[in-house]
Formats: sequence, C-alpha cells, structure tokens
Amino acid sequence: MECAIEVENLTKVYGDLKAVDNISFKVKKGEVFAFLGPNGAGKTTTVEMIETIRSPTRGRIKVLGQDVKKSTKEIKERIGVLPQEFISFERLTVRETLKYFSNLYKKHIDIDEIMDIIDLKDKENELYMNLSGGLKQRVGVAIALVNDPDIVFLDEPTTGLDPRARRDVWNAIAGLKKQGKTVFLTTHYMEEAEYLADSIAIMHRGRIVAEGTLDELIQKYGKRSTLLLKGGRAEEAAEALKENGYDAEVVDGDVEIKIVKRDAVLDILFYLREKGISYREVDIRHSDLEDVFLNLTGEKLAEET
Amino acid sequence: MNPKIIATDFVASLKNYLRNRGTLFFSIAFPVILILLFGAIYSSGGGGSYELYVKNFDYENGMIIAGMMNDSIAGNFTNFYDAVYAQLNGTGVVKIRIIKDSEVSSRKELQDYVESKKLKSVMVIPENYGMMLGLAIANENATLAPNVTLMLDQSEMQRNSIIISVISQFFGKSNLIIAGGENFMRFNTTNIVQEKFDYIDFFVPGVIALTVMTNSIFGVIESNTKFRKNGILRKLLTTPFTRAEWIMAKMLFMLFMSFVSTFVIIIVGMAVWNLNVHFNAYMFILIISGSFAFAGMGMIVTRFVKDEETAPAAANVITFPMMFLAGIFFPLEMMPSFLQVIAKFMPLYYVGQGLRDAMIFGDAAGALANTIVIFLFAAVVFAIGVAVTSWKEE
Repeated sequence: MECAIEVENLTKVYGDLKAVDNISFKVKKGEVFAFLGPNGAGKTTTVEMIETIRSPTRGRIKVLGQDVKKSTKEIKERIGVLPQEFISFERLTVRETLKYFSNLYKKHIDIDEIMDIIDLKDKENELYMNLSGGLKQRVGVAIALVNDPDIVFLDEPTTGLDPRARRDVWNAIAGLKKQGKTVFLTTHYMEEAEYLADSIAIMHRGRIVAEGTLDELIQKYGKRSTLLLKGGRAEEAAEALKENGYDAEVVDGDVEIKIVKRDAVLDILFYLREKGISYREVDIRHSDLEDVFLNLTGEKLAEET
Repeated sequence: MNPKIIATDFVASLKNYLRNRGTLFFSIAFPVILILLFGAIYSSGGGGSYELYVKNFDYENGMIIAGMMNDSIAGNFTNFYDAVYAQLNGTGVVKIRIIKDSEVSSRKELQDYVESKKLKSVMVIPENYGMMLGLAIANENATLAPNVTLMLDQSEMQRNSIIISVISQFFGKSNLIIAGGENFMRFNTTNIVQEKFDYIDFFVPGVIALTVMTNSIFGVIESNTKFRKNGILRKLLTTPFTRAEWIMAKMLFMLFMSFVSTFVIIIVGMAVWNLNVHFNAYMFILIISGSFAFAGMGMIVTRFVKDEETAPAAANVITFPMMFLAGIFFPLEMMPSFLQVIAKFMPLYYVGQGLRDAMIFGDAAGALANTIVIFLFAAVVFAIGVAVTSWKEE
C-alpha cells in the first residue's frame, strides 16, 4: 500500500537534548495513525517537522511522496493541521473562522459541507469565544478540513475535554477516516488510540519504542489476561491451583491467575468446584495499551486520564 | 504575495477589533478623552482682567491737551493720556500695557510687533489725536476728530466684546462731559489676523503621535504573543500564508487604525477646540513612518520577550518614558535641558514635532526635517523587526 508519510532516521537536537532521536516510521494512506506517548516524549516536535514548520537536525521526511524541505509550499496546500492547544480568533463566528482559513488555500471545499460533517451547523453564527471546549476543538478539526486535505494532523485534540465532549471529537475524527483521509493523531490518552487508531507508534524519550496495530502491540508487549478470584480463602485457593500447574498468586487478598489459553478459565473454575473451594466473585482482566506502555518503559503513560 | 489572503486577514482583524470594546476604547475613546480633558484644563484662561496694549503716537502732546481739558477728565494728571490710562485701569476689567516708543516708533513696526508678540488687543492712538480732538470741540464739529483704533484678535470673541464695552463706556462718559454726548471721541476696530497657537494646537498632534505609537507597538505585540500562545501562528505556519503576507496584512491594518484614530482626534479637536489643521503630505508620511517604526519596535520586543503577559510590560518600558519625555503633554522648553537632549533620542519626539510642524504651524522645513529623521529610523527598525520575525518553529 502507498505511504502518506515516510520518516527516516529523523533527529532533532536542542543543545544537549535529543528531543527526537533517530526515529523511522511509515504512515499508510487512509489509516488513522496514532502517535502515543507521555507529555514531553517528542511527539509534537516530530509532528511539526512533518508539517514542514520545524527543521530537522538530521533525517528525511516525505509527505505524499514529496520531500518536506523541497516541496514545503505544495505540502502545505495538501495537509490540514489542528495544532496542540489551539485557540482560534476569539471574535469571529464559526462560519467566519472557516471562511478565513478557507481563503488561505488554493483548493477549498464548501464550508456548509464541513459544518455538516463536524456537526457545527447550528453554531455557525456563534462567536468562537462563546463556544464550549468541545465545540472549540470541533471547530479546530473543521478548520483542518477547509482545504480538503489528504492528511489531517490532530495534535492532542481532546486534552482538557470532559468525557462527553471527548466522545464528540472522537466521532468527528472517526468520520474523517470514512472520508478516506489519512489521520495523524498525536495523543497521550491510550483510550483515544485504542478507540480510533489503525496503527499505533509508541514514543518515549525521543524514540519510538513500539509500533503496530493495537492487537499486535498487546500480544507482543501486553500482560496475559488475568483471572481474578475475589473473597473466600485466597491462600488455600492459590496453593491448590499452583499444585495443578497454574501461575497463581495472592495479591491484596485476591487470587490472580495468569491465563494462557482461553478455555483455561473454565478448567480453573471446574477444578475449584471439585476441590470445594469457594469465592465471592470472579473477574477477567484484559491487557491494554497502558500495560503495554508500562511494560515497555517501566513508566505510567499518564498520571490521570 | 496573494492579495486575497492579505484582504482576508485584514477583514478578520477588523472584525475582531470592532467586536472588542476594550481595544475600541483604548484606540479611539481614550485619545479623545485625553484631548477633551487636557484641552479643558489648559483653555480655562477666563476671568480676571484683560491686557490691553496701547500704542500712543501722540503721548507728548498729552500735556498740552491736559491744560485744555477741564478737570473732570484730566483730573490731577498733567498728561491727558495718563488720565485715560488710569481711568481704564480703574475699571478693573482691562490692564493697560504701554508699548514704548523705543519698541515701536512707526505703524509698520507696530504691525510686526503685534504679530511677533502675538498680542490679542491693542489700542492705537493716532498722531496729533489731542490737537484734532481739541479743534473738533472748538469748532463743534465732531467729524474733525480722528478715530482711535482698536486692533482685536477675531478669535477671541468674549475678550473682544468685554474690551469694546469698556472702551465704549469710557468714550461715552467722556463725550458726555466734553460736549453733552456728541461723539467727539470715537473708535473703530480692526482685526488682528494672526495664527495663534493654544495648548490644544500643541497637544493634538502629540496625541496623534502617541496613539500611532501605542496602536502600532501593542498591536504587533498582541498579534505576535497572543497568536503564538493560542497556536494561531503555528496553525498559520502550516497553511500557505507566507511571512510577507502576514506582515503586510498586519501593517495595513495598523495603518488603517492609525488613520482612523488620527481622523477621529482631528474631528474632535476641530469640533470642540476650534482646531485649525493643515492637511499635507508630510502628515501622511509621518503617520505611516511612525506606524512602521513602532511596529518594528514591537516586533523586536516580541522576538526577545515571547510571553503574552510580560511582552506588553516590556513595551511599556519603552513607551512610558517616551509618553512623558518626548514633548507630548508638555512643550520641551518647559523641561530641564538634559531632558531636552534625551527627548531628541526618542522617535516619538520626531513624530509629534513633525506633525505639529505639518498640521498646525505650516512649517514645511521643520516638517521635512522631522519626516526625514523618522522615515530613516522607521526603515532601519522595521527592517530589523522583519528580520527577527521568524516564520518557522525553532
């Protein structure tokens, strides 16, 4: 499949700090690519180099087959960007704002069409400053679409939004993919990547530490699923399971059993009934990106989400 | 450069501006308030007595006339004219100031003197006035008596009417005593046509210069720091908007603002304070050069102070001293000489002074000199400002 973005050996150095340390990756056309990592990992620096607005120290970037150093002007016409923490002109209405940015490009699509896609039609005459946080971000996404771009860059599009507003922005982003646009999403929210992304690159301290689809990453770097037994005689249960060859241990008064095969869960429960060991409730925990990240870096992705 | 992009940004700036009451206040209402306030403070010259200058070409003959007059007019004075002066001073409304023969000895000299001293009211007693008056009385023919002339500045209507009424009363009383009321002593009035400059004439060009400075410096600082913080600059970097188009759009808007403010200030000055303005090319070049110079300074400030809160404070460090030391509110002559020297290093001084020369004094040479200084300064500072304005992230 053709590549929307190709990054090779990209490095950005500030003094002694290697903000981006020799990274390479590819983004396929038409996919939602999530660039996941904690704040300060070098995500925005990388994205801005791809967007042509920051010069790399070393390395090569191709956007839509064109070199960013040589074809800056052409690339700018074909990408749409929502920068991190973007706040638009306060005293322009939604329609005026879209018209403003639309006028900057040679190619543009109908503003009404964009407002329909992003669901802004009933707010078109509201001043930007009077919109809620979620609406502002949706206007930001809409602005990124005015030139009918081939690639849409969204840098932390839901930071600071409440769950409801975040969900609305996610739906808007999911809509872009349906339109066949390549979406480059930068985020430190793992749910965002899980919900939206076709492929994910995990960035940590200037390097890409893992890359792949969600399933691939979890399979490779995630913990195995865990069966949890709560209540009852935990020590006794753990002993009995270990005797039978299961990987079981007591954590905080609960028994945690690592599951290798899916049907092992039933075997364990039958086995416990045979032995007459009781428990209050049972729970199965799956591995997620948070585990993947913790596993890869020994650090938590975000203090809170 | 794409004119459509520049026009788009200009229109957006204008809408943003018109919808913001704060900026609207500071760029339009504030200078207007300044003019009304300071104009009122300095124009309250009313009350008290008015100086009436007297040029008497017949003073030496006053002694002879005193002998001819009865005591009710000359009183204890040996010179008839001293008696007249004393009577007029006695009204408490006018204060007689004698123009000495050593200062003025002919009509031609009188004209120059009145102009150079910017006198507002002068009474002229012609040669041989006393003799002719005496002759008229003796022949009982009032037409033989010459006129005393009152030269009055036409713009001082209130002052003039008071002086005229004092002189009329005095002459009326004198005529009653001399000849039962017939008009032997008469006066006519002539206009003193001279441009006189009030504080407001001094102040209005200064306020225009000040407004151009604050609009330009703070306009640039706002668009550079606020838009940087809001991510608008970063967003624009990713679009085909070029640096040249951006600077052009912002400058056009700033020039527009400068001219709107100037226009409003002049209209208020004319309507309220009777300001008399000459419109000429210097005025436009000065305002344009000033806008570019101060915009360039704003660009340089935001190159080094990027924070939205501290950048305006840094700009205040530059604008505040200029506001008070560049001869905007008070004439430079009122300040100690070392401050006068300092003022000559301030661009605002040249804008203010140049505007004064161009708009008010009609002093083409002065306007040209100031225009050249500020034009060259603007060219250099704006070029530096453009050079340090980065259109890329670092």
